[in-house]
Amino acid sequence: MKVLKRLTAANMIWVITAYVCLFLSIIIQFFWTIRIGMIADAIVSREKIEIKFMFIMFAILLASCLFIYLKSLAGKYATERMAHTLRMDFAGKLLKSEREAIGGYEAMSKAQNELTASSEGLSGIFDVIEQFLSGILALIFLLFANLRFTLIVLGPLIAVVLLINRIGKNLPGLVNAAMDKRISNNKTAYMIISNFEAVKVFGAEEFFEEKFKKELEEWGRLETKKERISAVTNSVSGILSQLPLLILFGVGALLIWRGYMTIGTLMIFLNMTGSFIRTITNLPSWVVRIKQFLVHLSRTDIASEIQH
Amino acid sequence: MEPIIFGENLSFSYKEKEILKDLNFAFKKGERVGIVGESGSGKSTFLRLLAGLLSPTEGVVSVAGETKAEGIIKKISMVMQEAMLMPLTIKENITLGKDVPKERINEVIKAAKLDGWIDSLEEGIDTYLGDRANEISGGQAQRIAIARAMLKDADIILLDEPTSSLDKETTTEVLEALDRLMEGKTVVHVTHHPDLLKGYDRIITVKEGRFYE
Amino acid sequence: MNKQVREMLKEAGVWREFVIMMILRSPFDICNSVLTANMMQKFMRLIEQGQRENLGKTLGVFFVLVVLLFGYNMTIWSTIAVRFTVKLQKTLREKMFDKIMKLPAAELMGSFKAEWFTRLNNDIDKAVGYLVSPINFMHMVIASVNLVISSVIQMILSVELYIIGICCLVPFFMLNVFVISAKINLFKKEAQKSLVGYTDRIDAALKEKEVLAVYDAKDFAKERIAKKSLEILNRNMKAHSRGAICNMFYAFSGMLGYVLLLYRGNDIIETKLDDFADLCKVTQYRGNIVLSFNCVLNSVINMRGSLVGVERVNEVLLEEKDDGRTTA
Repeated sequence: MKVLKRLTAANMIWVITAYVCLFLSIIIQFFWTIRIGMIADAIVSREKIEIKFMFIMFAILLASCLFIYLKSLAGKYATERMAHTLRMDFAGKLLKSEREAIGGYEAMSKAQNELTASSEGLSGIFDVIEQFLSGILALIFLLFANLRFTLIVLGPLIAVVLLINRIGKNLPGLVNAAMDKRISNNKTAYMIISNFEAVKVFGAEEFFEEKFKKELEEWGRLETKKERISAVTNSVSGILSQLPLLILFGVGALLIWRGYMTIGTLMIFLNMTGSFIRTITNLPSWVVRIKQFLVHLSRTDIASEIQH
Repeated sequence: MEPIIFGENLSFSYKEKEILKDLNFAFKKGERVGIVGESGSGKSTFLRLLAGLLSPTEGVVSVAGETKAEGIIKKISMVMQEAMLMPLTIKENITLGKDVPKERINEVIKAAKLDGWIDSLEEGIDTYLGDRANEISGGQAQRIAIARAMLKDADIILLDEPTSSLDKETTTEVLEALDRLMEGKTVVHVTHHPDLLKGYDRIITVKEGRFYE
Repeated sequence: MNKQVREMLKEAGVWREFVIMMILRSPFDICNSVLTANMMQKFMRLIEQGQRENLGKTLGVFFVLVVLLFGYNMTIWSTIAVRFTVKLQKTLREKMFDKIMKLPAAELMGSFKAEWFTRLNNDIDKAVGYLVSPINFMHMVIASVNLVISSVIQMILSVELYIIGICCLVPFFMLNVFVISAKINLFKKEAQKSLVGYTDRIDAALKEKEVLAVYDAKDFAKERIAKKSLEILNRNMKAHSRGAICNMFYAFSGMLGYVLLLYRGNDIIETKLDDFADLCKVTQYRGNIVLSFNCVLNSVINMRGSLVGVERVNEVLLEEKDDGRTTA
């Protein structure tokens, strides 16, 4: 977290720009969805849709697309700048330390694995934040649009989130264990490559081959276990995420029949709740991704090693 | 006597740059040969050709009857400028996975004058050198490299400036260990310091890729 | 399938497992699409027609179908797919390692060390990622199956609305795939090379640390490293800016198609479509088609980048060598 804060602070202007574009993009999408609801009501009532209405839709569409472009570009630029800061922080600390903070093997392993994973994670994190923010803002909108209906659906949603979080509890531990084994295996590989002459001259190929393959086998075992639990977690959360949709239809039908809302409003809820449901469905994998990302990020921080 | 190492019209080029040109040489069994020359003259390249780590562009090199790289490598031991220690235990750095009797390991440790230092360590020979393999002194590192070379017990010893990064006192200690390594062996020693080659049978100067005696 | 990928899978001895895995995983998306579309139609019809007595039964039936579908996917994923992925990664790493161990020492001198380390590590990750990581080959295949079958179903429901949807989708799809994203692979490959360069400079700086300290040259070393890092940034941004344009066109085509479908759909209810529920079903399939197109597009872009890894892995694993002696 400390590293992430440092990276964000160093690139604040780009991060703010990215989030402003993201926010505006989401708000314009809301206007679009509301108007879609109005079209649905017109269709159910068998009314004609005016051309003027369609021109307004087209204007909103253009604005939406522009902000989607700006949000993508700004978001990626911000994360690339943060990745660059991370790489330079890493290099700077390696060069700065009076005594060697970490050995050559570990440095190469970090440069190849942790920095790369962190850089890719930074890029992916913005997408995660975007979808997460979409879901949250959608929920806020729905609470204002129809409080009773939203709360009826929200109860099961929260139960689903809690259940999903419980299911994925063991996953981060396994992710770390598998990653540790992978790093160990990489260190062995780098050690061999770096000292290749000695390995050849003293005929140590067999010795290192056995070491490398044993570590790889252990990694395979851990990775299989981790992936299996991930498969179960994601599938169960997929099933559970359908529950709110069914509840939406069930309760929505009752409220429409009683005259408390229209089909158009239900369409808005379907679209907006869909955004929130996507957030819920993807939450376990995002949590794993973020935790994995933060682990990678913390491993790039050699500051604590320099202090000792 | 048949030479144990010889080369005929040996040349080596790298990226179209000629490094060694048309070398003809023969070293007898048990001979100690010093190779001197300025930086970039091709000394280390020559040594790596003798070790089978490089292959000649033209000509032939034969080491203990072997002309192919895989065969040559089995016939030589080498101590390089960098000790090439790895994040393993001291024992593993010496044996590199070979199954060696404890007595033989102790023998080479004593010969390399490592016994005093290793006895002072809590875990002795099983001390893990870790990533920070350069936290041990240069002299200790080189003596581990010498012990490794002694263990292989090859008839031919190739030395690539093994003391160049050491101070005077440490150099003396390492040279004592090297003397024991070189006993009864054929030695080719590349160095910048001709004074280290006292008592050697031949000294060859490498200049612009050619040999001068 | 790309020839390079096929060769890599055969070399790794997992070709058959891969085919079985793909066959078993392919139907998931289309089954989910059919389920969701029919759910939409059924419930809208229930609501429009006020069929209160059928509400509970319909809810129950669809929940059971969802459980069965996701249960099937979970079974295939956690058994065959996981086994394949781990086996592929392990086999490629072992084979690459074996190749490295057989190299002449000259090929592992100097800056080549970082290159070989990248091949063993990053390149294999990319190669495996090409096949199984999110939005790559596997998702492309699953999305393609969904796309084809959803298209057929939508055409059966309403050819006119299908054509409207396709006209709003295909031109932008083609523009994205063949023009805008065409160079993304090249930029990612260049960024990968810059990463090797960055790693190399870190390695060099570590080894020469004392020299840098003595000659006060740490800033000089840092500048060189910064240059490489900025190169990574610039090259990645070239790829990302094209990706942003792709996203924009995707959103434009999706939203335009949807609103036109509703506009025209309103006109043809009672003539070509029964009711609003049918229109909802059509729009649902259309949504699936758009999502599948997008998945295919993004997969193709990602695959182009990941293919670099496959090519670099094959360069080593499929190369014919004689006795491995080096000649300058």
